[in-house]
Amino acid sequence: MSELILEGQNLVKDYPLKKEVFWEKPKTLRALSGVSLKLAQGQTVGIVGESGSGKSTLGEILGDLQRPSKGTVLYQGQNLRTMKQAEYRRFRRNVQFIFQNPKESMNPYFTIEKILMEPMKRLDDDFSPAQAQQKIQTILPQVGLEPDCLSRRPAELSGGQCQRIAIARALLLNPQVIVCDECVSALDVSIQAQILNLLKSLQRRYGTSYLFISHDMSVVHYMSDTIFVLVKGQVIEQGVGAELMHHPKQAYTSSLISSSLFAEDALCAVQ
Amino acid sequence: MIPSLLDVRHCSVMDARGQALIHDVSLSVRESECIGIIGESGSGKTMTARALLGLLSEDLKLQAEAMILGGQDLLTLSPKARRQVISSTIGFVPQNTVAYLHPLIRIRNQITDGYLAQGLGTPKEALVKAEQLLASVGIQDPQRVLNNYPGELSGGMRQRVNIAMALMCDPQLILADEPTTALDPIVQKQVTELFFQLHQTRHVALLMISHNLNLLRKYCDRIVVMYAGQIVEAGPTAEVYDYPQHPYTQALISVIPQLDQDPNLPLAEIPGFVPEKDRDRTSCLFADRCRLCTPECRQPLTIQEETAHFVRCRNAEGV
Repeated sequence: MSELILEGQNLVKDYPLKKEVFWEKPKTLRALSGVSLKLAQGQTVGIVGESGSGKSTLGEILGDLQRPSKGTVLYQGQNLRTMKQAEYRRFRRNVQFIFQNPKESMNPYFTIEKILMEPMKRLDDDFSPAQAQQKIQTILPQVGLEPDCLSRRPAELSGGQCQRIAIARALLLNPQVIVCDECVSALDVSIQAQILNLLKSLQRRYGTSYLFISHDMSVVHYMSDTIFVLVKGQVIEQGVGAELMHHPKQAYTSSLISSSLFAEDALCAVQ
Repeated sequence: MIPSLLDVRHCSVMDARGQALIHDVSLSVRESECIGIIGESGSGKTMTARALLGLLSEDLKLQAEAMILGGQDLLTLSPKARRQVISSTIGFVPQNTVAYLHPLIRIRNQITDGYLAQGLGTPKEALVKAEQLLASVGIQDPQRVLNNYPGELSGGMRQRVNIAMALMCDPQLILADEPTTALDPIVQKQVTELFFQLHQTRHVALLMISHNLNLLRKYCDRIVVMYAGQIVEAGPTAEVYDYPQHPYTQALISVIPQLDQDPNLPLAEIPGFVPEKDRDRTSCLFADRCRLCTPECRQPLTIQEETAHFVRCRNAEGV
């Protein structure tokens, strides 16, 4: 068993709802109820579910963009809330995000170079501009981009190119974990294949772990070692990729599989 | 031979600088036929739909040899008559369910608006019809939904309202522009099935735009593949899907991850990007990304037309 990097224990998240009458007790919406999850080095955990099932909330809690209402997140065995500041800085550096909409996750006034430089400036202890420049130059061809895009701004690039920038930004810090929150859903199928292949080859090279969140069953199956199916904040089924795909135990999972890409016929045709 | 309901010949749309956004698109839909248009973003699918509906913005210029809808050539009609023909023949279902419904008007007023504007009946009749249609698109409590504002409905419900609204004027053709892209997979399947159920029970023709080939393949009679504003391949579904002739179609089919994909093998991919600027319309636009590209592909391309299975590729002939 490879090293355990990230672990969520009994995560619960409640969002407060607006009160309809002012003397009402505050109501809450339970977005996540008691989810536990382990992510080891070089592994990919896939999370599927409809919108509103708590997929993104789970990803954001594990990356500490949101605090859970109950439950703890452990990074290499240490609680995020009790760890030392230096340790927490290391966690921040080693857990990176790729979001669904790459353009919205970048500052439109920054050039691509500045966007890529910023995380290193903030989080690298031994930051030097020259070294960072060099790192950027080496990472660009790996994600399939030309160096001349560095002087441009996000609006001048296509969605696929921006998503590559987002991936490059996440990779520049050599993180142990990347949370991919619907990172290919907004892309065309031909670009989607390029990005998925890129993520896979980087995993082989650097041993990165992915938390792969998507509503597309076939994409999650292709990427993941284990798959969690979330419904209304609860894990209704979890299992090894191929096994879960071919022998789903829950009716919900099989309906999700069959509606994903309308591929059941394609599957029958192949068999 | 079933008569053509819609027949577009050599339609192009130019922007202010004279660049063609869609180029030489010919399309025909016969009565109660189901046609699928597939393509990536930027391929001109939506632009084609907007051109058909007369919804192009004013700085764009439409050129076409003919645009015949229900026996009348739209190009020869006055704008007012054109609108009349289009709105009584085509029902439109948009991709974005939020932008298409007015947030501050109750569903009952929005859904009956087109019906009343065309003078098809009294407001009372319109409401009765709206209620029936809402029930037929699978809304359980049509009375309540009629009194709702769009913001009070979920995405799937709003799309059902849009579909019912498209059916209000008894169109002969429904034009659906990526109607399920914004929806969850399970709702997506329900809405798609609803479309084809309507197609079968009401015998309306369906022109469905999508980027999901598996979806189109399951329901459509013919598939049109678009790339960079041109039709690259068009033909009966079984032929296009099982024996794709254009390298782009072949690549498009191979890049879709299937459920039985071996996770250890890399996915097939199409290298490069869709050309965006300065498209040279005379030669093949896919040449830069094509695995079969030969030096002749850079030469101007002449293609035969009026074939059942149209392919815009030099190498596909006789394959």
